[in-house]
Amino acid sequence: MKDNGKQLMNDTRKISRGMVFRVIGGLCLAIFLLSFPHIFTSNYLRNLAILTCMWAIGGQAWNVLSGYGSRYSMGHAIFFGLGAYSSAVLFTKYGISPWIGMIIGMLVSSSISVIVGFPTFKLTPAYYGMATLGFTFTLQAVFLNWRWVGDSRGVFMPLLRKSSILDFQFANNKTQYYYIVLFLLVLSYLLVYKVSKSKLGFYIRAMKEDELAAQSLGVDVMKNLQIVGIISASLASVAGTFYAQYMLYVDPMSVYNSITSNNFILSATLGGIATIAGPLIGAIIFIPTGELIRGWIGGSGKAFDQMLWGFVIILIAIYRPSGILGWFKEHAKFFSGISKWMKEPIVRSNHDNSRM
Amino acid sequence: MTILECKHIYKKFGGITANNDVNISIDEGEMVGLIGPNGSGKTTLFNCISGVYKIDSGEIIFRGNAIQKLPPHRRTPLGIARTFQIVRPFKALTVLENVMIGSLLKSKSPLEAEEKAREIIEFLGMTKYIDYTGAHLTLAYKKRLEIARALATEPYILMLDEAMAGLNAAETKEAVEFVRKINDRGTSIILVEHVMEVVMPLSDRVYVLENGKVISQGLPSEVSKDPLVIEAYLGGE
Ligand SMILES: Nc1ncnc2c1ncn2[C@@H]1O[C@H](COP(=O)(O)OP(=O)(O)OP(=O)(O)O)[C@@H](O)[C@H]1O
Ligand SMILES: [Mg+2]
Repeated sequence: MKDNGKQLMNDTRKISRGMVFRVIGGLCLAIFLLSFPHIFTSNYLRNLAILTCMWAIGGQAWNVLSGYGSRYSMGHAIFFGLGAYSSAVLFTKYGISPWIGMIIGMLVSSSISVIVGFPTFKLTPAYYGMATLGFTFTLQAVFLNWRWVGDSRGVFMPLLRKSSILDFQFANNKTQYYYIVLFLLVLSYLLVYKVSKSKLGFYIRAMKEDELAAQSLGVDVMKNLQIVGIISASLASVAGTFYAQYMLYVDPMSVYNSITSNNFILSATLGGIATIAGPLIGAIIFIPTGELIRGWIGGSGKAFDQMLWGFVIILIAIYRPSGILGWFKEHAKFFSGISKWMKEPIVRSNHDNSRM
Repeated sequence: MTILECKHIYKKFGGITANNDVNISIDEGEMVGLIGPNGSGKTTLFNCISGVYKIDSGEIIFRGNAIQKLPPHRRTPLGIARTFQIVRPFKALTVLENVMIGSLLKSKSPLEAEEKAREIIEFLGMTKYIDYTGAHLTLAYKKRLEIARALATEPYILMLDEAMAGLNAAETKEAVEFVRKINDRGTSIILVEHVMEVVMPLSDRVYVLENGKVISQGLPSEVSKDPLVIEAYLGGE
C-alpha cells in the first residue's frame, strides 16, 4: 500500500468503504420503505407512516426558506392550506384531477409567497415570521366566511367507488396513499438536494450569514429570497394537496392554524435545520410520538402533545439549535474515526488491479 | 482611458457632510491611493461607489455609463468590487466557499466557480487554509479572504478599504506584494490606507481627503510635500 501511494492519489476511481456502505445502506432503506406497507399490515401503522412522510415534506418546505435561507416563517400553514383547498375545490366543483389541482395549488402558493415576500423580505427576518403568522389567521377568517369554498363547513371530497390514480382516491386502501406520499417525499427531497448544490444553494447560505457582503459580491438578495420562497411555498402546498386528498376533507380551522406551521418547524428543527435529512428524521421522531401521547392521554388531554412540542422547540432553540444531526456533527471526534475508516479505499481500479 | 469617474459627489448624514463635492478619476490599470485622517469620508466614498449608500447628488461614471442609480448587486457584475474595512467573512462557510460566492457571479456552474476560486486562493497563497471556515482565520487572513472574494468577481476595479490595517510588518509586506501582483494583472485599484509608508510607494497617484473634501491630489512625491496635507496629518490626529 505504501509503495504506490502516488498512484493512489492519482486514481480517482477508487471505491471507499463509505461508498459501499452507502450503496448497501441505501438499497436496504429503499427495500424497507418500498415493502413497508406489506411488512406492517395494520392500518394504524400505515397511517402513521403516511402522516410522517407528509409532515416531512412540509418540514423540508420550511427548511428551504427558514433553515437554509434566513426568513423565519411562522405561517407555512398558509401554503399548506392553499394547496389543500386548491385541489379540493377544483376536484369537487369541476372534477379536475387533484394532480392538476396540486400544480395549480403550487402556482397559487407561489404567487402568495411572492406577494407576502415583497414587502417583508426587506425587513429583518423576524418580521417575515410575524407577517406569515398574522396572515395565517387572516386566511382562516377569509375561508371561514367564503361560501364558494364551503365556508366553515369546509370541503368534502365525493367518495368514489373505484380506486383511481387520476382522481387520487383509493377505496379502503392506505397502501396506494403510502406509495404516493413516498414518491412525493423522494421527489421533494431530491429537488432540495439539487438546489442545495446549485448556485442558488450557495447564495442562500451566504445570504444567511451576511446579506450586505453577499450583495457586494453581486448577489441579488431579494430575487434569491423570492426564488427560495417559491420553492418553499410550492413544497408546502404539495403536502397540503396530499393532506386534503388523503383526509378527503378540508376545513379552515384544521389547515390555517399554528399547529400546522409548528409541525413543519418542529420536524426541521428537531432533525436539524439546513440539512437534507433533518426534516425527515424530525418527522420520524415526533409524528409517531405525538400520536402515541395523544392516544395514551386521550379525551380532553388532546392538546397536551402540542404543549409538549412547544416546550421542545424552546429547548432546542436554547440548547441545540443545530438539532439531532448537529449533535452528530458536534461529536465528530467519536464519529471521525468511523468516517476515516469508511473513506479508506477497498477496491482500486486501473493501475493496481493486480493487488486485488 | 478613464475607467471610473466620480463627479461632485455629495453625501450627508444628518449634520455631517461625509463627502463634500468629491471629484476623483481612475485610469485603466492605475493604482490610486486614497488617504485622509479618521472620519474624513474614505469609507463613505467606497460605499457610494459600490452602491451601499445612495448619493445625495453627483454622478458616478463607470466605463462610460452613469451607475449612481443602480443597486449594489447590479454594479458588481459591471466590474466593481470592494472589500470591507471591518471584515465580513461568511463565517460558517469555508475559505473555498467564501471565494466561490464571488466566482459564481461569472461562472455557469458551481464546478466552474470552484476551479476559479481555487486558482485565486492559490494566487493569494491561502491554499493551506482552503478548508478553514471564515470564523477560524486570523485577521490577516480574513483581510486576505476579503480580497480573494472580491477578486473572484473578476472586477475591472478593486477598492481596498484598509486591507493592511492591523497587520504586522511581515504580513504587510506580503500584502503589499500581492496587491502589486493584482495590479500587474491589469486590475485598477483604489487603495485606502492610513499608513503613508504603505500608500506612497504603491500608488501611481494619490488623493487626500479631509472632512469630506479632496484637499490635495497628484503624484505621491508632490502630495507628501503639500503643506495642506502635512497640516491635516499633524493637526488631524
Ligand atoms: N452610516 C452612517 N451614518 C451616520 N454617519 C456616518 C455613517 N457612515 C459614516 N458616517 C460619518 O461620516 C464621516 C466619514 O466617515 P467614514 O467612515 O467615511 O470615514 P473614513 O475616512 O473611512 O474614516 P476611518 O479612517 O476611520 O475609516 C464620519 O464622521 C462618520 O461618523
Ligand atoms: Mg474607513
